[in-house]
Amino acid sequence: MTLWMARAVATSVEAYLMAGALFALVFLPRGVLAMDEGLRASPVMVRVLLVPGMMLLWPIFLRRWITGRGAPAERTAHRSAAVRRTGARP
Amino acid sequence: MSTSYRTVAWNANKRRYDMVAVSLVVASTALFIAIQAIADPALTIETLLIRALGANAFLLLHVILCIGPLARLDARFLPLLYNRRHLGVLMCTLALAHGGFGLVQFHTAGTLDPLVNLLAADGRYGEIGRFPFQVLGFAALIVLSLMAATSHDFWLHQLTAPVWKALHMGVYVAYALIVLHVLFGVAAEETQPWLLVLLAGGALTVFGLHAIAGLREARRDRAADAEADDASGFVDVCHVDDIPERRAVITCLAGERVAVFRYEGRVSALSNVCQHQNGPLGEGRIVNDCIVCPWHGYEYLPESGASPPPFVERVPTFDVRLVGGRVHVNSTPNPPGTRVEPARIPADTV
Repeated sequence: MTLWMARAVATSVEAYLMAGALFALVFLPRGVLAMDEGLRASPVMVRVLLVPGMMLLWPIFLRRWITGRGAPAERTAHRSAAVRRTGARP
Repeated sequence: MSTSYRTVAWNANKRRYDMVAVSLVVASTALFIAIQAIADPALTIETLLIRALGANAFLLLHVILCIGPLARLDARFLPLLYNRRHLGVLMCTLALAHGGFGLVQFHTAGTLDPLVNLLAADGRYGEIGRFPFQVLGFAALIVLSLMAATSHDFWLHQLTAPVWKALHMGVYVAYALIVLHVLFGVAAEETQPWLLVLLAGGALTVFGLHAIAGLREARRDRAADAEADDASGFVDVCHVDDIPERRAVITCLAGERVAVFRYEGRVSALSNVCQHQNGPLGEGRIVNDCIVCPWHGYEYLPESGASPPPFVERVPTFDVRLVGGRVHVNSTPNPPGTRVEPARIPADTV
């Protein structure tokens, strides 16, 4: 890999992770509660544990935060078939 | 099961499991360092540490990869499966330590950002002896870190189990990258064939176990795969006597396995797929009126596929009927948590 390519990759990775860290700092204290009630009664350490994952997956949660969506419904063959049968949400 | 998240859902078994795992890793690392130090006294402590951490992370990865197929082939390995996540985090910790020490040792002497230095390291992709193998290790570390960082149940819930499992299938990508990392990084310099033999042996063991377990599962699914017998959509699954009390027979309907349970003169059918981590409910048993998943103990009421309050997990259920002692299951599932009247086993059949 040439030096300019290596610089570009390294800078991108570092910028992505820093953006994720910033997002985690803003989102995890309160914003995440709207998405997952299970965190409300959980120890603070749980949210600390979530920081590394949030730094890596922050675009998904930023989008959900902006659109107001919660966790998606699980999709398995049976759940999809049940939806087709009744139109009920899984 | 819990209505709120815990940092780690500790219990006596998990503590024992982790203590044994950490003890074995510490002992293995110390042994590796001792053997290497005796074989080559010129090696510095930094080099010994980097090699020991890398070797033990790689060894632990093999163990982790073998647990899955072994548990499918022999239920005695199931106790190793239920806390496998902790092994994964331990392995990633070792790998990060290996990578971190390596980065400091080899890429911080100059003026460049260590990561830039690693990525731009002099190497030729066309020459085995000069292949930039550290980039492969870095790529594997990214995959392993993503998996370790998303190992908590929060991610299972937020991503849903099928997506979470697909993400964690990245362990095979990481394994391939690490095999190449070792092949190009170490094997190219080694004059003794033992390392290549070990590497090949490890890969063959992982691949072989997966192939054997996969073929067995595919054969089981082909044998169990059933089509609807008539316009009513019901499928003849088995005789009621084939189902042990408080256990299940597993069949395939609507593209996925279905667990048909027998309990207290009744028969119920529900999706075999646990909502927690898609474990096989049909391999569990009914305890205190609830089906208990053999992987992590998640519970479901057999008539409704719903977890007992205050828990909210639900799995799809299936209509069931008994015809002349034969269990018929409707091939179309009901939405998760739908209560279905169990089929009653006639007194003369019990």
